[in-house]
Amino acid sequence: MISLILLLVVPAIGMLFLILKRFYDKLPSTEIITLSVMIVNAILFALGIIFGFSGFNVSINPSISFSFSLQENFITFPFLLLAVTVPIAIFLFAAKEIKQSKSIFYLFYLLVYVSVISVFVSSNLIVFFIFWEAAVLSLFFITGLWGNPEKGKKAAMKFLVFTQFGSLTLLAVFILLFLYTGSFNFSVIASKMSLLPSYIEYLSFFLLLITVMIKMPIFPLHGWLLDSYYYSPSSGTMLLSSVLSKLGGFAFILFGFGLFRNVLLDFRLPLIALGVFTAIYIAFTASGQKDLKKLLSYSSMFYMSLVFIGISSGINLAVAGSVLLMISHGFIITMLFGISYILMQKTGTNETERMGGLMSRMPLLSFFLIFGIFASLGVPGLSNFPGELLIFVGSYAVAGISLIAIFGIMLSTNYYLRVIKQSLFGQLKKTFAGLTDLSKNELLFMSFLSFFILLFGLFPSLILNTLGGL
Amino acid sequence: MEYLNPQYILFAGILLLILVDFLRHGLNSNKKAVLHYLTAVFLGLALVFDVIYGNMDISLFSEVQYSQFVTGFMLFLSFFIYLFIISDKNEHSVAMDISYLSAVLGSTLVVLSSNLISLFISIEILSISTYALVYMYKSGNALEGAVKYLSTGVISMVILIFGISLIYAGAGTLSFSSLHVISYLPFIAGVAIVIAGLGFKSTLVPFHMWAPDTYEASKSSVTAFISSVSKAAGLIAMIRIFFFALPVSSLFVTALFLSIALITIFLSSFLASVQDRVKRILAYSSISQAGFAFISIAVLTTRGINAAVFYIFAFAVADAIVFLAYDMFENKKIIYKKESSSMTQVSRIGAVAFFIGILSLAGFPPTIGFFGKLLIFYALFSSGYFALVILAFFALLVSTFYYFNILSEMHVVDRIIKSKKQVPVKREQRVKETILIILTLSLFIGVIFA
Repeated sequence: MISLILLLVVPAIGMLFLILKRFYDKLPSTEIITLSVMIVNAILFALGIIFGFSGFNVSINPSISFSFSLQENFITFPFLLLAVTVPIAIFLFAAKEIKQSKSIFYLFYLLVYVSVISVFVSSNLIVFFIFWEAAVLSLFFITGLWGNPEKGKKAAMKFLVFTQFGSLTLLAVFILLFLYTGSFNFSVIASKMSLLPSYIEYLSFFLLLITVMIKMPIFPLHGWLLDSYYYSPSSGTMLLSSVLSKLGGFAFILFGFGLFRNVLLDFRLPLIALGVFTAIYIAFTASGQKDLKKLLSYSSMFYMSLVFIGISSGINLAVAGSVLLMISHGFIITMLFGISYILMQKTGTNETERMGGLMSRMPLLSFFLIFGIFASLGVPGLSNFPGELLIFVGSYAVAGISLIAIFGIMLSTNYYLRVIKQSLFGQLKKTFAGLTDLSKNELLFMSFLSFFILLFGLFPSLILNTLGGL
Repeated sequence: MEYLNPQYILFAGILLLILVDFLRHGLNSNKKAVLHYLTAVFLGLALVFDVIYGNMDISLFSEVQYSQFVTGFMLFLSFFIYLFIISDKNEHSVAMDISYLSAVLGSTLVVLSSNLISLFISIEILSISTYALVYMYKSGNALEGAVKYLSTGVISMVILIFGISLIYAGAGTLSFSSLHVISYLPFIAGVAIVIAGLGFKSTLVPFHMWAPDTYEASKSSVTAFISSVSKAAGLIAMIRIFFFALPVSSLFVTALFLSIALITIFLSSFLASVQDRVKRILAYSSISQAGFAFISIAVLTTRGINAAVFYIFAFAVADAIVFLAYDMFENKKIIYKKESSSMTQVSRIGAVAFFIGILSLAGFPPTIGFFGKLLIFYALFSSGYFALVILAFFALLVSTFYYFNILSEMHVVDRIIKSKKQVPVKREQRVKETILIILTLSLFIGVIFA
């Protein structure tokens, strides 16, 4: 048995080393510390999958039932897999991108890493909230300090104010749950949900919905998305889109589907309609973008709205599909943002119109771009396909309206193919004649992610089998 | 042993200081430092005896369930703030020691008083000595701040005693334990007027006008005392009167309290976000913290009062930290928001403590500011004020905005990260930094009191 606390202790030790590194120069370099921490954690996770995890519990203040307790729940494993693996890939990338004040950057990086893991495994809601906020704060600093020098700070502020409101409403939900069940412990709450009067259930559900809609994000609370995705450093954007936005989906499944299922079932039609509207709206918005990074930001939101449709249908099948889609989207969007950053570095522009003919100079990069785009479009055999399929099959059973979102996928086919056409095919511009292909590190980054994309595309049951409670 | 209560200790300290100062005349004036240490020793002793024996319990002053905790944290904060003040190389007169001790004595007495008259006298002791403290450092416009504080303070005291007399007219008694029979009209008038009187002390809108000016004019370490210990005393006095003494459960009173609290929170948040000078932002933020504590008093349930007491503790510690840390920066002429990037050049530990203090004020976990807000929202929810909490969220958002603006778009963090060069550090700065570290640690450990 592997204790879940180990997954938190190892990064904590790494952070301690990073702090000590400022005083003792003899320690290994910050990159080595960070990478080894994440690899040890991945090994621990793999061992845990084989031998099983055991919970952890330390009581801190019994009067507000605040105890540091960790326990896996019915959707922990897929998300834990995402949180353990994707940061390794992002790290390979960040090592190249981040040049200044590395030790603090990796400190924040490990803080995001550990807080996301702890959110996924914590069973006490206060611990959940503490790490939820820690992730927001450290992303705020990553965006503000290493992002775009001019706009980064404003974008970070916008991100903080939006997500802080979401955090507060989540806190309100937790307090309401505590008020009526007398505990912050998830399993105790789940067993005492019948104590909640129905109007409290409705109130909490809508507060939760605000949190989720900000975090995922869903129209009309997506105002922070573009700024913070666009002006973050690329590794920050990857963290935001691949891991942080999943926190919203995780909370929606855990609380919205797990606890407030009755309310969810009552409101599933309007919620699905909202999701469909977001999907179409965002697909149109993304079609108009010329900038690759902006386009990817919007398309990331498009897939999150599909997830939203899946969860709000309240059908086990569709929820499982949403989990699958979130996991696969985490891998795919990281890869696409990585490619967009590499293109930006090499060609000096983010606009696909000003690229062209890159296929002849960068066959490997083109391969991975096309691979990522096809995966994202839901080509069978790649990982988005089973998720999308399950979502549409499940949600069609309750609301035929959800099929309209398929139209959004058609739109995204349109803009993705445009990206391929404009950047990879056509006449090579003379200024790009000296371009080189992917370096070894980048190749490692890409193949690492593609491995998982292919794996879950071919064997979605690997994830579906862990969702025992669904 | 029953006379070893902190109040007696403080009182003995004041008398001893006066006596020694009297005898000392004609001697070499270099001995002043001894008196400062003597004062510190008395404060420390008072803290120790509070922990061991609790407070004094005589007819006009009586112990209530939370008073040991409250006097404990007041003495704790005053002790460290005092150490911070005397670690400065500036000349301090013995008068300052005496006024400081009387201010602390006054604020601990406020917590204990069980009679309107003793409450009034304790507040007077506290106020008069703080007027002196504000003016003691003749820096810049200290006179303006002190005069403003004095004039509004005197008016508020007059109003307070007028309200007390109205309550006496209605009830025929001043003792908290027998204030239960009271006719309606004088009671309402009395409540309204008493709230005006105490509102001045605890800086509730619309009685807050003096606060930003006075906070700005006085030395930051003194501001730390006024905004934490003295304000805590004002809020605790509110709790004593409105929860333990007066039979308040009328709709009018609740509506009045809630509206005052909401206006305080919102107005101060919005005013803080347009300020340019760091100290004014901190002053307005301190007003908004008082509003949060008051919103929890306003629900008038046991849960709300417990939350309020804990929150007062939380924001008092955090306020003390930010003002003390700012004192170090102010000495190096960091006045405006845009200059805050050089905070780390003054002291890196100071900047980190400032940063953590602000996190706690903004209510980010895992600091106690978060747990304080958690308890307040819990109290509000359990009394059924759902819409109120949502409104408070918006105010919190505004406050998040300006708190992070104080860090001047994060220049502080920027520099904490980037500065590598070692700044030569003086011994007195080491002392100050140690104090800040201790207080900052208490921001995390305080959770066990929740």
